[in-house]
Amino acid sequence: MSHLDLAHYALSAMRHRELRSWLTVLGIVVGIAAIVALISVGQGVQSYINGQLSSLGSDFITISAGSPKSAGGMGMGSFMAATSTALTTNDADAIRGVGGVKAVHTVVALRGDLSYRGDNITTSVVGADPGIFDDFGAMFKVREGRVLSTSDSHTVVIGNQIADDSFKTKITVGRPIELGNTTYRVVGIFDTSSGSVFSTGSMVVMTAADARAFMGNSRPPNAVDMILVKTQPGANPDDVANELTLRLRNVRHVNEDNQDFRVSTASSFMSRINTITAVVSLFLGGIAAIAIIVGGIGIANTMFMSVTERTREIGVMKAVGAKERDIMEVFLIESGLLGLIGGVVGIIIGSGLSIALNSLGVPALLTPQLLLFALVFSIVSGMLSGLFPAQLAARLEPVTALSAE
Amino acid sequence: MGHLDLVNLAFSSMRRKQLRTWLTVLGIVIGIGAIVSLVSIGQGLQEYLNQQMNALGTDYLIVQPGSLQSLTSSSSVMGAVKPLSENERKAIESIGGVAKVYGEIDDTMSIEFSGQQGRVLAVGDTPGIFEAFPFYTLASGRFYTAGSNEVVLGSDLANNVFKKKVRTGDAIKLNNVTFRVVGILEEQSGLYASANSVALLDVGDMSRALGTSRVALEYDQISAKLQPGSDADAVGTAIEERLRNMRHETNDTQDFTVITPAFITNTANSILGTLNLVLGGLAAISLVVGGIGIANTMFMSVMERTREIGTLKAIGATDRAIMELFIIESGLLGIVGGLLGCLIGLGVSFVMNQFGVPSKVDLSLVSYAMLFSFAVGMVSGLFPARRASQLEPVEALRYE
Repeated sequence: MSHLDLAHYALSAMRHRELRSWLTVLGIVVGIAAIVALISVGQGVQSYINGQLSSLGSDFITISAGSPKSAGGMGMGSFMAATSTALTTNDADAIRGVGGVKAVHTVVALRGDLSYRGDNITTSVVGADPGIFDDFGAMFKVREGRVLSTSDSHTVVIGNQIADDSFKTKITVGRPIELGNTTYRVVGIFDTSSGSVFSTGSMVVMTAADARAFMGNSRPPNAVDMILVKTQPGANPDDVANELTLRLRNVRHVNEDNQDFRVSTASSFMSRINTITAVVSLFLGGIAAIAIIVGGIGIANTMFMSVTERTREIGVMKAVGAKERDIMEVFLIESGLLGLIGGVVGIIIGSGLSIALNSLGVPALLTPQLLLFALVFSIVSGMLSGLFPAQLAARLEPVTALSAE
Repeated sequence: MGHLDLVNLAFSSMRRKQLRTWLTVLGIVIGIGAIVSLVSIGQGLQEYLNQQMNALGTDYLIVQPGSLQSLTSSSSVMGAVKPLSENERKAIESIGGVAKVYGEIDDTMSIEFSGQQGRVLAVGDTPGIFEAFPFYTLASGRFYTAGSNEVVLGSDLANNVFKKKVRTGDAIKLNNVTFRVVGILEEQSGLYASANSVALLDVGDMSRALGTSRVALEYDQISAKLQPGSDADAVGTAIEERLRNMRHETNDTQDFTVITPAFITNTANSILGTLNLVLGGLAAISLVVGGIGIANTMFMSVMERTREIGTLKAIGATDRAIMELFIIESGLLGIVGGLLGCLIGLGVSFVMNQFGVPSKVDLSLVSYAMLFSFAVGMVSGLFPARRASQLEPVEALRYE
């Protein structure tokens, strides 16, 4: 029997018991719609985060103290809480010559008391060489005033949170503030940072020289908390990062097992985030997939009933020459069709849900891969569910089948 | 027809088409099993957290700079906040119900030992805090006293950071000031694991060692131990009013937070509660599909027994009785599925506990699950039952 005949026969059988077919399909629809909606939200969140991160560009590398095995991000919080032997300006000098490195900048960080007009707060203070603003301008955007220059002394750029929200009167460019016992003049105010390596909103940035004076002798003068490396345009940051790692291991006399510093590229950070979001959405999708299992049981149930009802029909077909294979094909087509129709309707509903969520502000992204996956998944679920019933039908003895009630 | 007769009829019809019945029930089993397993994990986590919280007692509260919003968003270590002053500390001490007050500073310091240098998170506190809040145990030595430049190190910090292990009695330098190690903590686990890499010292000593970067004696956190019998929430409110007064702030501009034990448990519980709802809700989707399966089976059942129904009506069964018959049948499918599902959920929960994932199945969860499955069964059977009850006896008897 030709495949088209078999397909026609399957369709007509389904139409014979319409309500039953629709209810069976409905089970798959619910499951597929849930999966499509959930995973689209997961993908939406992922692409939102990636968008935020990639606005920084990918041509930079950060090096901070701390074992690479411990959990950490790229930002300042990760190295402020770590306990480790510190990085020094020696490390920074050692990697300047590595191929693909355009510039190396060092950053020190501590907390300090900031007074303004008699009131005071505690805040993060960061010392960096002014060249950092040229190479990493995207991370340090100012909304008023300017960034620091090499000739600057006792000047600071402060974050918008400190300027606007921390004191009774707002701090404006040109005003003096006190850090510790020293007065500094505010020459710039940062814009709101978004997903940047540094949360500049609550930071005070001064030159490295000023920072060293500020720290006094509480720290060795060549101490460094983070090294920022700008890579040459066209260089592969991951390759450069590997080179840096090897060079630093040499300089610090450590090997892979006791490496006491962490080298992060934008892509390694992104892939860490992506892994987390992927795991979460897979977990949620997995729970929704339980619904598909139940839907598949529904298909199996329907198919068993179908086989029982058409036992005589199957007997007749075998009597006129249909092979076991053909019978199996009929029922597999039937169950696969149930899955397919359920999948299509489910995808439509799931996509609708996804779009509705988007309009409510929840990021949800539909990709062709997701829809294709859902489609294939539903067809395969259908066919798998129909496997046992199809086998049952195929193995019917024609004579017994013909004499069934 | 007696109700018992109807139940018997329902059972016998279910037994006739066993495979179909079991497959239908299986759908509910999976749905309920998933719900029970997931929700039990959520409840287990909640109970674990509550146990930890209760161990802390209820006679304390913590005042932190930073408004509630800033506390819940980014880490307050990184933000710009107005610290608590020494005057404010004294003010808190004077509030009725407060037994003793401990001020704390958190910062990073440079640490030097046997020629190696590093950065360390340091916590300066008022001595006596470790007796008042006995979270940490010492492996060796004792806790520090005030004004003697003494320090206690966490176990990781002492053993794993420097090439040589640090021992009690050794001298280290913090921010270039010499400190003597008077004690080393035991390895802490769970909620207190962060202490393993921290240096603990007297708050006054730390403030001096931080030098010019920090001006007056100010605090990043104030812990208050309350007098036995006092109401933490009432004392908390009194502290809030007093500090707001001192800082000339209103309810809306309040830039500090008073954390009471109740606050912590409530926040944790509400987060976990939401998680529970989400997981349970997702699992419930499969239950909906199971219900659709029941509806499907019931429609089939009605169709197959059309003649039977006609006969029943002919000998006097009312529409109501027919409806009852089919609703009982679908309800039974639900209950049996619910029962087996709960058993499976219990099994999964047991296995989870063996693997260290806290999971708790309590009576209310099981009863909800049973009720829910019964309801799903009954509701799914509603339309098929109506269709059955509306059959014309004459037409039904004639059905092929």
